[in-house]
Amino acid sequence: MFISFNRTAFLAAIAGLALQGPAQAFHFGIGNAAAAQGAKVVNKANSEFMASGSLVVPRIPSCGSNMALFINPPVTDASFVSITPLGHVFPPGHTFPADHTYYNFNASTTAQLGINQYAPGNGWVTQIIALYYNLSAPSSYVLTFQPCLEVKLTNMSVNTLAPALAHPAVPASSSCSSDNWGTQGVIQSCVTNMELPVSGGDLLGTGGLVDFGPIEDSRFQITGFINPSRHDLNRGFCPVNYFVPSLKTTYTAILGVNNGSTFIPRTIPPLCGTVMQDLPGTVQGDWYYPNSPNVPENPHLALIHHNLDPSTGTFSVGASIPGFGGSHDFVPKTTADGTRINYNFSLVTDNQIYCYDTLLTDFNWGAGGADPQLAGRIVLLQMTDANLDTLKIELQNPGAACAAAAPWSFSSAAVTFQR
Amino acid sequence: MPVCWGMRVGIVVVSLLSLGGLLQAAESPDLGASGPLYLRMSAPGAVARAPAAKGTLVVPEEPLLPRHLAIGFNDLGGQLRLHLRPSWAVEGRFLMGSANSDFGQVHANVFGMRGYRFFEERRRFQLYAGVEGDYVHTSLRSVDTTGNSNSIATISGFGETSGYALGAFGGVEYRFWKRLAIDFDIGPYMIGLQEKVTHVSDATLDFVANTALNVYLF
Repeated sequence: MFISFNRTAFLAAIAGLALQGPAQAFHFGIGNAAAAQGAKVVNKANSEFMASGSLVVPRIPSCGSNMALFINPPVTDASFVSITPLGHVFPPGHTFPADHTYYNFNASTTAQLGINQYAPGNGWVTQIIALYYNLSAPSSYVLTFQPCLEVKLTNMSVNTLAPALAHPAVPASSSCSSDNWGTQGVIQSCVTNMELPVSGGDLLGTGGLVDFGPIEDSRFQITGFINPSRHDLNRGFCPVNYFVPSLKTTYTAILGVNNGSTFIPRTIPPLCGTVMQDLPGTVQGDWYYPNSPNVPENPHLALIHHNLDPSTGTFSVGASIPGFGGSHDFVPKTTADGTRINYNFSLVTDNQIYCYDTLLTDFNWGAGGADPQLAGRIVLLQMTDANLDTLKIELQNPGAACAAAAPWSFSSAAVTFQR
Repeated sequence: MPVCWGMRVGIVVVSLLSLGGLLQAAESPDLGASGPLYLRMSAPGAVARAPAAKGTLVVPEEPLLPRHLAIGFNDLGGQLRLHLRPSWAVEGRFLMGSANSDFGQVHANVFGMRGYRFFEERRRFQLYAGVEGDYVHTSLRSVDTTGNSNSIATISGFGETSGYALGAFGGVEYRFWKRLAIDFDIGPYMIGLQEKVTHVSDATLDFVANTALNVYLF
C-alpha cells in the first residue's frame, strides 16, 4: 500500500503528542514518566505507612464509614455518673466552647485516684505524653487512642500507666521538652509515639480521669464558623456518637452535670453540646483579640450559650477586658423589645450599642444566682463596622442597671475584638 | 487536560502512517528531489533512445553536512549528542518532569546517557534506534497534609525517591536546515524507584515518547 508522505501531518502528530498529558502507561518525556513513577511510589508508601509523631509505622486501617468504633465502656466504676456536654467554658484557658466532654464522678477525690480507664475499642495507642511537675517522675500521662486511621480519641489522662503501656513491646520514639501542654505547673513533658495494639476493654491507666475527648475525625469537618481558618475543623466531635448503639444510649442519658448526688441533664438538642456557636450577621460566637494567636485562648472572648442550658447566655471572657474575666451568665431576651437591654446574642444584628446587666455566676455546678462582684455594673457592646466583624466591648460601673445608665457610650477602656 | 486515548491512538496512527510514507519514499528515490543524483545503467536488451553516455560515471559527493556534535532542547530539558562515527552516536541528557501525587506535585530530574545507531538519511529524514540508561531522582515539590497529622508526609524527607530508567527506542530525525533538526522517538522504558524514608519501591514498564530540537554545531 502506498501512502504519500505528508510532512505537515507528521509534524502535527508530533506536536499533538507533545501536548498530551501523562497517561497510565504512556508518557511524553522521560522526565514526566519518571515523575509519574515517583508519584506512584509516594502514593504506594502512603498506602502502606503512616506517621506516629516522628516514627514511621504501618498504616492503620481506614475507618470507612463506620461510626460504631467504641465497643467497650472506657470507665466501669459505679461513681461515673455523667458526661459534661461539649462547649463547656472555663476562661481564660477554655474561653471558647470546649472541644471535648468531661467525665463526672460522684466520688471523693481520693476515691477517684483508683478509677481505671480502659480502651473503648479495638485499636492502637499511638501517643503517650508524660507530664512532669518535678523532674523525679511523671505525675500524669495523656494518651491518644486510635480505633482506625481517621479517628483519634485524644487527651485521655491517667495518673499511672498500665504495664503494657509503660513498657510497650513495639518500636517507640520519645522526645522531652519544656512544653507544658497548657497545664500549669508542668515543667517538662516527654512525648512517646508508637503504634501499640490494644483490644477493647484493655486497661490503659488509673486515676486522674478528667477529659473525655476531644475526638478528631478527619472524615468530617465542623461547619458554620465565621472564620474557619481559626479552627481545627476536624476536631471537636461528640465522643458519645462513636459508641455502639447500646452504649450510645447509656451515655446520651447521662449528658449533663452532677451536682453532688443530683443529676442535671442537658435537655435542649444537640444533647451532646457543640463547639461551634458562631451565628453570621449577629454578635454570637467566638471573638479574637487582635494580633494574638488563636491558641492559647486566654486573650479572646466568646458570646455564646451555656453548654448545660443553651437558653442561658454566657460571656466567656479571657484576660483582655479589665475587671470582666471569667464566665458570666445572663437570662437573655429572646425577642427584641426596642430596649437593646439583655438581648440574646442572636438578636444583636446591627451597629447600635447594646447593654447587659443582672449578670449571674456560672451555674456549672448548680443554678447560678446574681453575681455579687458585678452588682451595679453593666456591659456595653457594639459591632462597629458594616461587615459586623469588629466588636467593641466594655465593662462599666455606673452603679445602676442599663435602663438607668442610658444613654450609653464607651470610654477609652473599651476593648476591640475581631472575628 | 483529561487524557483522551482515542485522540492519542489517532495521533500515533497518523505518526505511523506518516513514517510508512517516509519509508515508502525512502525506498523510491525521487530523481527530481534535491538529493544526490542517481544514474542507472541500461538493462540488458533494452533499446536505447539516446546515445549511451560515455566516459566515467561520476557520483556526486554527499553534501558536507555538520553532524558531529549537536545540542538539543525541549521544554523539559536538554541533551548533547556526539557522533563517534556517522552511524553511531552517544548522548548525555538532563530532563525534568512533573506529576501529581496524593500530597501534591512530584518533580523529577533525570540524568542519562543514550547510544544511537543511525541509518541512512533520505530526503532529510534519518531513522535511528538506540538504548538509554538514566539516574532518576524525584521529590515532592509541595506537601499538603491538611487534616491528617498521621500523614506519612509529615515525616521529614518523605517523598524523595531515586532509582533508574532503562529503555530502548526507535525514531526519526528530520533536518529542517543544514544545522537544525527535530527528532522524535518512542520506546519501552523500565523505571524503578525507591522512596527514601519508607524504602517502598516499585518498577513499571511504560512507553515513553521523546522529542528534541537539535542544533548541529559542527
